[in-house]
Amino acid sequence: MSPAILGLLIFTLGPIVASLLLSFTDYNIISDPEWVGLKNYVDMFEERLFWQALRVSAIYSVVSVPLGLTLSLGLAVLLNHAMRGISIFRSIYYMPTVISGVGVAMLWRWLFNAEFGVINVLLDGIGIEGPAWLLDANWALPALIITSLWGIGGTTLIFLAGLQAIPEELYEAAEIDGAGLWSRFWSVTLPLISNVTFFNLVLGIIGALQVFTDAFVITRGGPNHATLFLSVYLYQHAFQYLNMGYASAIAWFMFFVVMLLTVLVFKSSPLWVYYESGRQEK
Amino acid sequence: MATSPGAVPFWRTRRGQRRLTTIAVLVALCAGAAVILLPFFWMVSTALKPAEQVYLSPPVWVPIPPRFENAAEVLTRVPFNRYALNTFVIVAMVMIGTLFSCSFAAYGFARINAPGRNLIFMLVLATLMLPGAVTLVPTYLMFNSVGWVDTFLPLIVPAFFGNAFSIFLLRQYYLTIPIELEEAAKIDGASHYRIWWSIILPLSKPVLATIAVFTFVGTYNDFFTPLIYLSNEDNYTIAVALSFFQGSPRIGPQMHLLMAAVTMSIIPPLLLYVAAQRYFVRGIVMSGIKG
Amino acid sequence: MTKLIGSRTSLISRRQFLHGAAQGAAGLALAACGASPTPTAQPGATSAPAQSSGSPQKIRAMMWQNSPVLDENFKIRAQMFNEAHKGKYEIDLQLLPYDQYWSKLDLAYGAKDPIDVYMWDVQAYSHYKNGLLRNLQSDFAAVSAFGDSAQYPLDLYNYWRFDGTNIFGIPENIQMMSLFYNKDIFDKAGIAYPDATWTYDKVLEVAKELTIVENGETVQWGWDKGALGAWWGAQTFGWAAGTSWFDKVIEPTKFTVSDPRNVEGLQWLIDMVNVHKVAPDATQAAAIAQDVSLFQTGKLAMVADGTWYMSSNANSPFAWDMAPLPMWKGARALPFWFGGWVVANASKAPEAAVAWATWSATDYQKELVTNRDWIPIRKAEREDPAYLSGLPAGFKSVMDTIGDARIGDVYHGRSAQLVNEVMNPTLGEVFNNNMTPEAGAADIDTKANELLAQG
Repeated sequence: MSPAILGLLIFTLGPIVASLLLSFTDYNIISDPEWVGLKNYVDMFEERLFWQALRVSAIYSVVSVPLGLTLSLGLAVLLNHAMRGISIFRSIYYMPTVISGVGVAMLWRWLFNAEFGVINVLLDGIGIEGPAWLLDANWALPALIITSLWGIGGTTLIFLAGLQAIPEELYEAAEIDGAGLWSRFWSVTLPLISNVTFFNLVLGIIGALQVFTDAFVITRGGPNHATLFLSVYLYQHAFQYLNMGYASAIAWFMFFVVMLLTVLVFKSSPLWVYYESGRQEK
Repeated sequence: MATSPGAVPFWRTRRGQRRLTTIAVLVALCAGAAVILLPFFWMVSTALKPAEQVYLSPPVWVPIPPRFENAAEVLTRVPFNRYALNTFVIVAMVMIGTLFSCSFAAYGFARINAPGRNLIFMLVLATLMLPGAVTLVPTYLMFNSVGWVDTFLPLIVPAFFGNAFSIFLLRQYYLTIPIELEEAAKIDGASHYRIWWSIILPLSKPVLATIAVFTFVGTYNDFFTPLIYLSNEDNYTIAVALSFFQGSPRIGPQMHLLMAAVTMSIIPPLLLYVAAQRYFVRGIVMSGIKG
Repeated sequence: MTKLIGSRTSLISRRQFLHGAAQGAAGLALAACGASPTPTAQPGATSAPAQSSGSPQKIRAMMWQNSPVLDENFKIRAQMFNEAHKGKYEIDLQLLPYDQYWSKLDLAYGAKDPIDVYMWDVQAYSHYKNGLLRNLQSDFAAVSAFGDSAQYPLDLYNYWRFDGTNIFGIPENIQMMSLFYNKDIFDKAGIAYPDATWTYDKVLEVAKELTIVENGETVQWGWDKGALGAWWGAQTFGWAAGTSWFDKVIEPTKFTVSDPRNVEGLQWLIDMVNVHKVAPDATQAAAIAQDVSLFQTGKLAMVADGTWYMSSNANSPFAWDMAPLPMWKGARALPFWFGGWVVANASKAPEAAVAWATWSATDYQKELVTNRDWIPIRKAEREDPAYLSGLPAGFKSVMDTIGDARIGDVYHGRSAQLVNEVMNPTLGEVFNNNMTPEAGAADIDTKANELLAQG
């Protein structure tokens, strides 16, 4: 394992250490950094917009992660159903994931257009006057959550791979014992894919706290900071306000939050994650 | 049972239950698929409209006749073939690099009890947790100092040294592989390399296929890294070309052209997905990890 | 991972985010949209190429992307430059999306290998402040035409003398604000078109006549504030009344939006919506204007916007024209912006970099007459009949107000923060009726002065 790990350390850990050092400096990229100690970290907690960004990221994560996991697991169960043509559905649900990035963000901006966007046109069709979405401070964040749910195909796929690995005999045995659909899901499926859930949860948290492209492309943090994610706030300071030192401090704050959450999830995993070779894990 | 009608109604029989479930699943999947496909439909619809039909209320759902000239116009603006070739080279190299390095590293994390293993694993995971915006500058300066800027190297080489996401995915997967298989091999004196190559790799085809698709999608859609590292336009990728159509702060995009470009750009990954699906969905069943 | 979409065509709240220096494609769609790019120009048409003694000085230049047609014309411009300076200079021009444009410039500075010459926007003021921009004063003085105020609006150039005496950028195009109006609507109502004599009182009077309400629903609006809703637009009222939003454009020390003369302008804009009901409210306007402008729907008689708006309107299915921005309190004041080039201090080939900038502002100007990508800075081209013939009839009258123009920027190390974090959000609250103009003005002053105090 050494060469790969060594390279990983050089290519990613090197810059990571550098960014940690930069977080203790006043650095604007264009000229040399200047050591300022803990100033950036102190300033951070005094900034009004930092708290706003923290709030936006927290709301987004708390809503979109559980919602996304639940939906994608449900979807994976449906997609695991043995029937003709199921692979067509799998392809369809995964499709959004293959156009992640700017393309999809531009598309959603267009979909959410208050007047000409297809979403409000359809809502109009059923007699609902749609909100102004991206222009409305109350609806911009929900719009971004909806956008994120469109891309659950990736998580679904990982769940599906987990589901496929569950031996059919276990279900048959449960069925013979008289377990219904729901109880089979509860007592066979959930425990056996708990490692996959764990994986998706960890990545979901990391992903939600780092969501950037959508927020940046679709709403640019607005209106009135309603979608000012930590990542957007960080980017603005790094590249628009040329406060790279401050931005690095924000990044390290985010890092510790994510790390803390991940450690919590890891620590809790023996309680609910089942590994076949788990006895090897000490 | 089913041969004695009246005793149990069909929908109570096992076959009947299956049938009912199938219908329910079908209905749910169709409804969901409609939601998923709607944006695609709108995208393609916009892509086939003349400019003056884009902003109409009520909207034009299906432009008749469809304006395929939009696609043609996109092709005249960007050397699509050239960019497709660049993209192919980069994506292929990144995929090869990622698959090898990650499966190897993940094997270590899952199976080799080296001191500090968990600490290093956490470090690897940690690389996922720091926003890329702040490591961009040090990374850029590093590649710049070795003269790699304006080459494909900064885009490709890191993949050969692992990627945290894939290592994590593979490690989780390897942990579910029964250890007994390897123990037999170990008794026969097989080295870790051998076990990895002859036991673990064949068993992990489906997850490798999954990673291959993720890697493809991630690399294919990444326009930021190529833009930052490449200066020569001849070296651009499809994702970069897409960014040409997004307009500027003062001048918005020409929505019909932008949507045509987005539509065209998703065709290659879509084809790959359809082609690879057999491996990473059906492949799971065939690879025999079931038991 | 990142991407830019600053503003779709007319979303004011987005546009203003973009930091002042307006880079619009004035006549883009008017003449150039769909037209094939100008063929590569005749080589050596201008300055005689020097004998190729050795290899040419090579420089890297950068510009941000606007649209495929404009981008293509920039590449053609680079080719023309290389042809005209064969053996002497060779430019490699890269076009990037707006956000990556700045990231890449900054990274190049960070790597001590700067881009030699690039298009200015407010964000580059930080480059100046860090001593990274070349003082172009002597290069500027070396071009005799640049001393002729009959050819160039030299008075306006002072805004680019950041230290008070020396110029740090060479302008090559200009953008201003004007009043756009739907001629069909005016014709139908039998009302005379707006002209240079119009005041905002007159605008209100006519807007009342042109607003049509059917069954309680407004089907035609007389007026929309358009870009006057941006901070630099709203500020014009203060200018006309003899004040401004901050004490000076370069390195302001104090924000004074609460000055009643500034607040009065905001109040007027809001009264048009709430009191006179001749203009759509922020949500109504923005909802429609998110990707296309309200004006282009044909349901709006008048709107104030930047000259770059001409290109957006080109496809409108009705007749329209433009007039000077109306007068307020007996005076006219409007913002303008330059597009122009700055040169890196550390450039290894400053001579070539400066040549590109000055060539763009001189010899290249005549290309703008035909491709109409930008409004030429040089008067000869800006008033060339061939140029004007492809533009709205009122264009010249708008350009004639250049003497009343002031730069619609603020130059400070924290410009972007002042705009993004303070002025935009609070103005949004004011126009959404969540804050009174007085409260909004006070809020901007407090927050902005706090930022200024941080240095």
